[in-house]
Amino acid sequence: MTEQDALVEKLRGMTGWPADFAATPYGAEPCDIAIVGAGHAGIEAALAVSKLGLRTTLFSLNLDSVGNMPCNPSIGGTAKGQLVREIDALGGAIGRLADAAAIQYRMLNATKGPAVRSPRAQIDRRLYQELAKHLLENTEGVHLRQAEIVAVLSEPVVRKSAADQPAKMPPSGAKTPEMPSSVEARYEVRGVLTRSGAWHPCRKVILATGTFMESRIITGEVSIDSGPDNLFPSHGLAASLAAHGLKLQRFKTGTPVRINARSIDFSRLEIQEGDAEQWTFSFVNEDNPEFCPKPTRDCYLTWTTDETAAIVRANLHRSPMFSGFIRGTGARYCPSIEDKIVRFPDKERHQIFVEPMGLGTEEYYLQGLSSSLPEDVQERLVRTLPGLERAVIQRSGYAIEYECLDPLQLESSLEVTDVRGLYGAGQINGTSGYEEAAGQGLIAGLNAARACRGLEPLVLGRDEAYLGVLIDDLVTRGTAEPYRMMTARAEYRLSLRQDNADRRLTPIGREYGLVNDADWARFVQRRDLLTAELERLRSTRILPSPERDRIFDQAGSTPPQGGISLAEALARPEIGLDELAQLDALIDKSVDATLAVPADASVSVSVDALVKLPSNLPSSQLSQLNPSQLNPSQSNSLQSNSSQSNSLQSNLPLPNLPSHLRRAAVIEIKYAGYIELEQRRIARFKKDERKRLPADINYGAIRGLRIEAQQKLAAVRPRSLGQAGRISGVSPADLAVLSVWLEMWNREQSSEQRTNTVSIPAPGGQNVELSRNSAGKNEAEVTNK
Amino acid sequence: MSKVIFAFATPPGRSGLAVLRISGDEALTVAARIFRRGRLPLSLQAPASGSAHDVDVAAGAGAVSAPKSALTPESALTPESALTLESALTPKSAYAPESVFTPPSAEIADLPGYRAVYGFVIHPTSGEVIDEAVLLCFRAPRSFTGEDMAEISVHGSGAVRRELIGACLAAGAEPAGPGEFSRRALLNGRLDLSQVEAVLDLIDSDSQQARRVALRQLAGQLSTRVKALRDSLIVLVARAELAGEYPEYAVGEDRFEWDDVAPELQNIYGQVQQLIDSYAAGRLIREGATVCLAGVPNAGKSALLNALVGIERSIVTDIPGTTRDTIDEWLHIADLAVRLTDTAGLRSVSDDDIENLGMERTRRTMAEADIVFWLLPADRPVNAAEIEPLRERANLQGVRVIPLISKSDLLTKQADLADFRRRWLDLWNAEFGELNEFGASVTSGGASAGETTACETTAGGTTVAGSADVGTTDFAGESEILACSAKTGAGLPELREALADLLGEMTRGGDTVDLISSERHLFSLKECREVLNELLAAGAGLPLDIITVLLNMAADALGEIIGATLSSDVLEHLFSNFCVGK
Repeated sequence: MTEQDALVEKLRGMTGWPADFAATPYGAEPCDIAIVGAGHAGIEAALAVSKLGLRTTLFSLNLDSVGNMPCNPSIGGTAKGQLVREIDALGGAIGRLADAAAIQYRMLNATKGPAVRSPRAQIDRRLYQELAKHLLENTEGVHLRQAEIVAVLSEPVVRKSAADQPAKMPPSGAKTPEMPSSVEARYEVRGVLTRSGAWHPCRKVILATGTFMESRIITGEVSIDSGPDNLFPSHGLAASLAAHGLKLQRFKTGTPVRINARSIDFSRLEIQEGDAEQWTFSFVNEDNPEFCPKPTRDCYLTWTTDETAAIVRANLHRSPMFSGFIRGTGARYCPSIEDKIVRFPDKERHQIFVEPMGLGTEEYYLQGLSSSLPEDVQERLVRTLPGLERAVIQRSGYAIEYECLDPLQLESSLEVTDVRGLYGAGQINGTSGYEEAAGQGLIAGLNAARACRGLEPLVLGRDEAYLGVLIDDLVTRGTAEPYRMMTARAEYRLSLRQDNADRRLTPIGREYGLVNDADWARFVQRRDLLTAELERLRSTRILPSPERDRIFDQAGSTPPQGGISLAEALARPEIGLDELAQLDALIDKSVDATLAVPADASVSVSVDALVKLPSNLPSSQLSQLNPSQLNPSQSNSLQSNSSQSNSLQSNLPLPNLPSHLRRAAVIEIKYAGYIELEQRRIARFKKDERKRLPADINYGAIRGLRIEAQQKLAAVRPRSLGQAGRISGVSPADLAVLSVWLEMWNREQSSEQRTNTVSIPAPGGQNVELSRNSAGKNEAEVTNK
Repeated sequence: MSKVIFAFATPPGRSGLAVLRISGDEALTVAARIFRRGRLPLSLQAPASGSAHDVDVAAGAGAVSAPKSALTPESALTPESALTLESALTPKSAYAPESVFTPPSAEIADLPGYRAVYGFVIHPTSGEVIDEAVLLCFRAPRSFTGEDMAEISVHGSGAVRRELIGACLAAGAEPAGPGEFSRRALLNGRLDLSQVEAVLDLIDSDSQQARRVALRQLAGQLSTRVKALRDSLIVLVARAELAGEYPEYAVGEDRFEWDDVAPELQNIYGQVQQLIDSYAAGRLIREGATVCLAGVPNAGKSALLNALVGIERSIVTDIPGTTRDTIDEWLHIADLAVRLTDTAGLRSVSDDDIENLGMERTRRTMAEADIVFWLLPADRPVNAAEIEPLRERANLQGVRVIPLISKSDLLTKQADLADFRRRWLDLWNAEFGELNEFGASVTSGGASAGETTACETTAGGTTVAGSADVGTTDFAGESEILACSAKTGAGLPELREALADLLGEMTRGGDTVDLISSERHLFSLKECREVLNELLAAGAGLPLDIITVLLNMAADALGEIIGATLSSDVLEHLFSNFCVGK
């Protein structure tokens, strides 16, 4: 038997082997972690793996579609923008890539409060793809490979008697022992197989297959097996997963037509300009003088007409959505135009946004006109919109169906419970959206790498990040439709703002090895500046003067009787940034001394730096930063610098204080009361999160739990009572039962050591002795009030 | 398989009846070991009075009051007299069986559900008879816990209780842990949270009205009402969320404008307030009212207590564990349980430390009372010194303080009495404000306007402590300060009537509106109200994100009541405040 024969025989014996495999398998390059799919999830996963010093092979069906945006040419939006900021704070790439390819910035809800303020930008999608691919190609430990993965191969977990008990955690940083799953998995991943026969052995596999698994695109009566943008679909991988006993579901999403700009009468559209004030997605680009945004493009707005509705209605019978041709479950929040017109017949018109696809293209994307109607209907439909009467379609709209995992099969680490070493990220987990995918990719990459190193996974709480909410929702509640991040899903959104994402998460990212030295140094500086500004606002009092009172009067706020601190003034709803600037101007300028904040406070990093290794700072930057300041443990050297200078001139406005930090300080002060209120709620929430449920509960044996709840709990295997309470199908009564059970279980655990002495009175009728459960009670009264 | 647990469902202390509950898969097997059907063996009837058990069993069948023969304390048929402590504890005087172990009664073990059997309880190993009893059988799942259950009613004496506990242990049952009956009820899906608390109220209540309220809450009316309010809030939450989530679509009729939602919020706020208002009435109905007799020393408080209790002697139950210096008696007035408390007399200064301690306790008792009768003895001059201790009223917020002339028999001439009353009325009014329609001055702590915050002890929304209007309504000088004599009984019926009117007013609405009667519900409702209050006060100036968060919080607070968002805090609180066996 040749070596190859032996390999084939070995692989054939594994779980997930494809039945009709044509190629002859050969042993290919092994790696620590194989990542299937180089979309937004795959990119972040690969970068995270690299940061932890492990090797990954990142597979893509087509290397020209790395980081593709098959739908909206935009990143961010409500809640999604918060996700981007969080990923960026954790050292991820999406924010930096978006900044490098953004062609219009808009801060949504700018006036509706900081918790709903959400960054969004139009993206040059070709440029984004190029940057993403280039970044990966330049990342140490990442091997980008064009190939179709057709199988994940695994072997059943051999249960050793000792392995039945969860092992003790190995010391952090230990290399060899793998982190044991809390629940015994049935399989353990061995590697992945490409269609052409390459066998890549690996320790972990991250699936980031997007909408490609067994995908089908549908336009009217026409359906073809295809991924988005006419890319090849992935065949066989889904079956390989099903062979592991994994439950798959079929989701559907859709996209609108793209039209040529030269066929648009822009004069008939309402123009939507970007923000005048430049901001950035990435914290590292904030106030970076070297950050150079791309030229901008405008967006436009038009509306559907009666004619549009008439055409839709007349052709509904040809819509695959209504004919039953499409089986997949679509998202309620992303309805096609035919959906909108059928479900909201009273709405006279629907908004359609006309968005540029990039600087080097004339294609425009029609947001809001997603449709799977036949091509001829789409042609007519588009031309019913004012300004688009002569529109020339370059790409048709379509619906796309694809296979994904039921995310209830995942742990909070994004590892598949039943298959050790297999992780899911992005649309395969039932989500939709680039940002949702990127966030999961980062977490899956980090946790897979940590598992290789024998370290506990990072699980972000619902009180820590939208990313925590997202993953908790997925693995706890599952999803019956493509899941989109929404502000409404976050219970503690006043604390989960986009402006404080770095303060929430960068320290965590640093601790977990995701944030490089330069970014960390920048963060520490920002944080210290903010602390100093807050201190200044609280300690600076403005005494009464006609000038001062005029500022209050003009703002419609009663001038305070005596002196008032800037913080107190800001706590008034009428006093905002403008008034603060005016009040600041009153402070004596004569002692205007510059604080020890270097004018070039922000260490500049060009887009090129993205491709450098995390700790590999360009020498020019190294010269600006004292190496001792780069060490997180000594980071307070920066802090002491600024606070020292601050104490000298604490009432003076900080010169060079970046406007975003000034704004952040104002938010902290204005929202202090509400944030405090929320912190109290978080404390309550955490109480149940801390009540850990044993991993091996036999839910079927808990009396009083309804069958549905037993099944749901057994499927989700919640980590805590708090998580159990969020499982749909677990009613408050079930949770009450479970908490009672947990209490009884805990009591049993502790009472096993206790002796239960209940002495029965002798027939003579002596005193009854009750030592059990009667502590502190009258022996004759067991009513224990 | 659940182990068999037992506990008394009735509160500790001497009472007409004590009810033991046994629950578990083998509950009836345990019961069969300790219960025998039929009349007590004749030999045991000797120490008791002849007709004792027939009468008592009739009482045990559900009557609240003791049999008539108990009217005179000396001959009262207390459990001790039916079966003395000695006879219960000493096997020599008890029925001595021939065998050492009595076989279980197959008849009891196989009893169908909802069947009552008259008989007696014995110790399973000694066979010693403990007391006569009625056994009520429940079969799973139609029982409080959802398991097989036996309820055994015996006489409520400490000795009988102790013996019965021994018998249960010997029969293989275990004492229930804290809240274990309710936990099992929950475990078996018999109760949701608000129902658990209503059951507690149902059992705790010893008046008809409280029973009605508890029954209604059990049927889920509170839940229904709270759920409806929460649903209304959720509608607003959704609108606000839309505005933040889809700013480009929240335009036109879908936009979120404060002015559009404010009226609906105001409406919800009003309904939440209404529920909160019903709490005070609910509490009175459930827990009974506390009426405190207070005054300067020798004002005739103790005599009045005795006189009032004497009238109600037949339904007085004493509560053990009272302090040395305040005496509690329970009365039934206006369908309510009323705890009447006698206190040590108050005067301004005393060098006696013990007296000071007693006065301190009096002040505390007054502060915790619902109603305080301040006695003005007829043998003392009309003098501000008599009401001097009332001046320090800071801790009397929400307490109704009513002047009452005592020892009226000392003013033999009607004219003297009338004059005495008038002069006191003037002085009282000058000090504390006008009397009201109940013929009694209702003052409230810190009665001057604006001095105190609004207090929760309101009834039907008529009286709010701290309001300057209190007690001034419709009073044209015809009401008088009540007067009575403990010695002659004069004025006592009027006093009772005035008290009944006042209590009726304080619990008005308790019969018809949904009542909340638990602290947990009150807490959640107040939380909701606070949030709505904040919203309504600042709403127009608040940014959307804050409005949305506050709306969410208000809905969450209501969700807590119906268990829609359950933090195990609630359960912990519930179970630690829950009396086992109820």
